Amino acid sequence: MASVEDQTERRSRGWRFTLHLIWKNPLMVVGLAVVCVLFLMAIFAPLISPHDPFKINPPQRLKPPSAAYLLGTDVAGRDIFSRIVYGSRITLQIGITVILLALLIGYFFGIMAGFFGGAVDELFMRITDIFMSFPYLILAMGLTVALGPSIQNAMLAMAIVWWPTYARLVRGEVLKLRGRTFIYASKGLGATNLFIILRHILPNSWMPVVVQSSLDFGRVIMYAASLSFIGLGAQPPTPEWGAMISDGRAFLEQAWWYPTFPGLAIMVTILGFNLMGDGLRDILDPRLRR
Amino acid sequence: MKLWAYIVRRLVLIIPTLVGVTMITFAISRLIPGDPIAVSLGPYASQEQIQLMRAKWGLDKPLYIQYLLYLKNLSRGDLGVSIHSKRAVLDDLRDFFPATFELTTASMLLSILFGIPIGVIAAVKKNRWPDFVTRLYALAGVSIPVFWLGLLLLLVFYFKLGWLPGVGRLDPHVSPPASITGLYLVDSLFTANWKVFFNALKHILLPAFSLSCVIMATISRMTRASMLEVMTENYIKAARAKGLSERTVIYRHALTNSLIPVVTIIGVMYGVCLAGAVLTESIFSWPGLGRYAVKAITFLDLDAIMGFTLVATLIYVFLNLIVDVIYVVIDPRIKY
Amino acid sequence: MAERRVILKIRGDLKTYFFTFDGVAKAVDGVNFEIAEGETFGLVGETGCGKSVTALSVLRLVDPPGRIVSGEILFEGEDLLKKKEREMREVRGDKIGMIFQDPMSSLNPVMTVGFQLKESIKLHKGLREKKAELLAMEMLEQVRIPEPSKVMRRFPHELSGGMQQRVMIGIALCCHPKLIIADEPTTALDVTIQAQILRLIRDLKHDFGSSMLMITHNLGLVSKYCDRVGVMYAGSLVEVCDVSTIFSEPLHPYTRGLIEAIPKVNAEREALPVIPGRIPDIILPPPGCKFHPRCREAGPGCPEERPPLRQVKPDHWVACVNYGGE
Repeated sequence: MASVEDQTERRSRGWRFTLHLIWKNPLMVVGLAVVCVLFLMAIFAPLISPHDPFKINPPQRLKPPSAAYLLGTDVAGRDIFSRIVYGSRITLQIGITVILLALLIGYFFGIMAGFFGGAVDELFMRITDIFMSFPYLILAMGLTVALGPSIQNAMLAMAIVWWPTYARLVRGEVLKLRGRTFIYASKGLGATNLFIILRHILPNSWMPVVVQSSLDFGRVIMYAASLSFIGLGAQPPTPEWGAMISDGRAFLEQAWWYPTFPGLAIMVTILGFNLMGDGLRDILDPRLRR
Repeated sequence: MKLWAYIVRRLVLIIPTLVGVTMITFAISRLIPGDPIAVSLGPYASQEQIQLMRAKWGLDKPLYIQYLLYLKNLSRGDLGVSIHSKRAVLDDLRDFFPATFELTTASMLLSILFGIPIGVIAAVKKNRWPDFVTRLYALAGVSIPVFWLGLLLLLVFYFKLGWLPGVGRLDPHVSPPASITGLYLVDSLFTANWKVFFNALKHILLPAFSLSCVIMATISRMTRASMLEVMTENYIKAARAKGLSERTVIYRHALTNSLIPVVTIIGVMYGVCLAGAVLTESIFSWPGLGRYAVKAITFLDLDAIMGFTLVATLIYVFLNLIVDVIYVVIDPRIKY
Repeated sequence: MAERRVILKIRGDLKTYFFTFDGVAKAVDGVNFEIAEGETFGLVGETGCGKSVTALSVLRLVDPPGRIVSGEILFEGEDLLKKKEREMREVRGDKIGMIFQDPMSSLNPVMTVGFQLKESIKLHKGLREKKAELLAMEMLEQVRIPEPSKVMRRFPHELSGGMQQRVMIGIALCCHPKLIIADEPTTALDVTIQAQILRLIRDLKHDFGSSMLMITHNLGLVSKYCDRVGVMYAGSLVEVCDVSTIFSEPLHPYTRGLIEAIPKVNAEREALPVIPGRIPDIILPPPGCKFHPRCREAGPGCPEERPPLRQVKPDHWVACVNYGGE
């Protein structure tokens, strides 16, 4: 006979339930697939692209999609498909760089503020308050213009605009952890602050941050493309998707494929990351497990 | 009454934030690598001339003095001069503001009007097809670049089908209505100028729709999530126990409660709208602040860009304040 | 004994199951009892024994993944389970009124007390605003709330727990229902307020001539306010009898365990007897009699077959082979 005690190994807590959640959430699998395809595309770009993405070929300019040029050619005669494939490298580079940078800065300040509190925390809150008063894109725009339009500066600008969000998130987690008994116990045993931070705070605070950054990946890509579209960020002849749309805009009427396909690439990529991020959040959210 | 006191209090609290905002815009405008004075004077200027110019602009003073000068200028409304238009940036911004305001407001209204009912239906019919369609749309909506959507709509509805215009706020031969608010739709309504009204309507349709698609997605998502949470509350069950129809329970008891968190993100959404307007106006040649900013970027017109950044942020901050006040008013549990 | 009219009769083994990922939770697993006119029937049991779900089943307010799987619920002769939803809505709030456990969370936080009261009144009595307002204030007086006109304009969070529960009672009783279902009406309240509220409910019930189904885990309340009692364990009724019998001659081992566990003021200082073990899993209950693993009178036949509720005396039913009588 089973009592509640014996039944603690409930199915709902096992790995089978995780699989069940994944099965019930087929969209997340789709998202994962898209992300994988993106990574593969980036890694094997030279193998996949049929043409050189940088080689200018004037006689072939603005040709519609065909067997030779799968997605058509652009104004300089370059194969759009190849450029999109190479563009995946840039997209991934931007996403990873911005998020890692923002995470690093954000984590550092978040821990400082959350762990030490007091005046440091007050200052931190004021500064992040000010940063978060700006609409994201608009601040990134201004910053990039001031630094000089280039892809590196765009990445830097985005990281600068983004870190307050992570910092606040980390600070929240640190505050939650700071009051927990095991931290006091650790201090009582003589642990230094640095030790506590590295050994206790970091490992216990990363989960919501990871979820947030996977949800943010799509947004970073969106902003990067937007910045490139208005001329900041990637500069020609870099095959960045947003810049390609900007180039193709003038030819919307006669060469619809020119701005359309890079945009499709952006959308599918962001969709993939969003699906994956959503699914990740659903799986990791303890409330939704019941 | 107490509400006024609360509003005043909030306004006062905002001042440090606003000061911080100006500090950042100031810092950014001083960030430029290279010497703007030398650049503007040309390669043949002598060192003396450059020094004189620097002194004239106060650029040889310590940074904090420069900042105070900057603040002083701001308080007089001096945002600098645009390299491109040769006019005071403030005048430029004032001219282009109504168009952007009209566009963003129209988009927000569309998004709220459609986004909320969609979210409610998705929550009520959870896990059935309206829910799936809504969630799919919400996902697509936040994944689609707003400028790409604008281009697609332009391609289909203007170039291919020719149903809707693709440029500007009015047809070239139509003159704008008498300027009361600067918003063509409102002004033409007030003056009963139907021809202009419908023309303006046709023009605003595509840009407002493309902008609102993205925002509607988020609003419907939030409404759905909020409704789902509220529907599990005890008072919903108690309302059913009274014998109320499911419709009444949903719209009177559940929706009123679930709208409260949705109101809080309207402010943030307006920020997204402003940013999106920058892109959308550029695509549809909508003569607003956004297009002005993009043009300024092409010319690296720093005064104009910083002026735009400052004004856009100010609008955003005040709008969030208004949203906060609305929130405090509609939730009876919050004391002020 | 005079045969009183039966207001509520649950028969045919009421079963309400919850179909979850972990399995089928048999929250209510074969319950039958009846309540006569003017009577207060107490449904007692530990947390999780299914008494609240039984109450919700009567009003057909069980949310998915729960579903009423079998049984008949006869209210004034009509089977509620066979009614259309539209007809049920006429019953809810009008013929059957429910008082919920936690008044703070059971009242809509963004609506005034007056609005929520008038809502019921307007719905079932078809009155307009002015008349409804009057009736609502009358009701507030009846539940002994001072300054009703002021309270009408208040929001739930501005009232104390006791006042909130009075409002809840007012809403449940404003249409003078024939049956009142009170789900642990005082559990969330201060002890000092509990007695006031219970007396209020009892008085109103008497004034309106209603019957009451009172859900509680507190045997003390049962002794003071109930006429008859039903003891539930893991989704089933194990004993049903009138209130004096349950304290003087409890038969089922579980009931006896509960009674013995009540601290008595004049008893000698001994360790309080406790029923060993824990309540069973309602997804995978023990075979046969669900109580047998904890029962000190369990015999070889107990894990074999679940004993049904059998009448052993007039107005005394027990579900135990040892007291079945044959």
